[in-house]
Amino acid sequence: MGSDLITNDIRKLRFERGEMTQAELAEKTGVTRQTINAIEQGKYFPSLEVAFGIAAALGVPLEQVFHYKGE
Amino acid sequence: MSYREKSVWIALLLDLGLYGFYAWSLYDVIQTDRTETFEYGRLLITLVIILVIATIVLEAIVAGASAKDSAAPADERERLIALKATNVAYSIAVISALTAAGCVAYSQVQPFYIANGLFLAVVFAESVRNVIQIVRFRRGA
Repeated sequence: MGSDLITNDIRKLRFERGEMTQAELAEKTGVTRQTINAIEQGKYFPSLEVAFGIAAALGVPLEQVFHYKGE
Repeated sequence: MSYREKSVWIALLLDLGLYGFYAWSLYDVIQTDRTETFEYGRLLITLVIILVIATIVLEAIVAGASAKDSAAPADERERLIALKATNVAYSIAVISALTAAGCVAYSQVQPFYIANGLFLAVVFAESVRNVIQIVRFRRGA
């Protein structure tokens, strides 16, 4: 379920927003804290719905959260 | 550890404990050559009742300890983990059922061995499903 081509800045963005915890982000996004942790570590890639939810919870566009390193 | 992972641990440990006891009992029956007289259905029903009650009690304790998580529906990652584990378990169950059907059609195996072989396959498939889920929960995906 992982890929080296997609990275994310969730951890950095969380700390830029008053050290938001994984649990807080999880609650705003509607997933478990373990799922946020897995996404943050690049072990799991979320659906578009959850990805947009994370971006909205962090208050940034999707492309500031997830980055595609291919092509 | 998430609520779902705790639930899977409960299911796995209860399955292994109770069905392990059942298998051990059957081993004794086979060793003493009582396969045609032993009422394994009665033992099995008793163990299933114990399993249901123990599951309800342990689930209630775990749910009480993490009320917020237990009330929320499984998220997409948890559902995907369950789906992948179920796919493997389904394959095991189907292969086992076909093997049992083959035994019935082409050999003189006693019903005792066919019934319990099938049951063992179902328990094995369920245990594999739970182990896969735990491994995936531990690995993060």
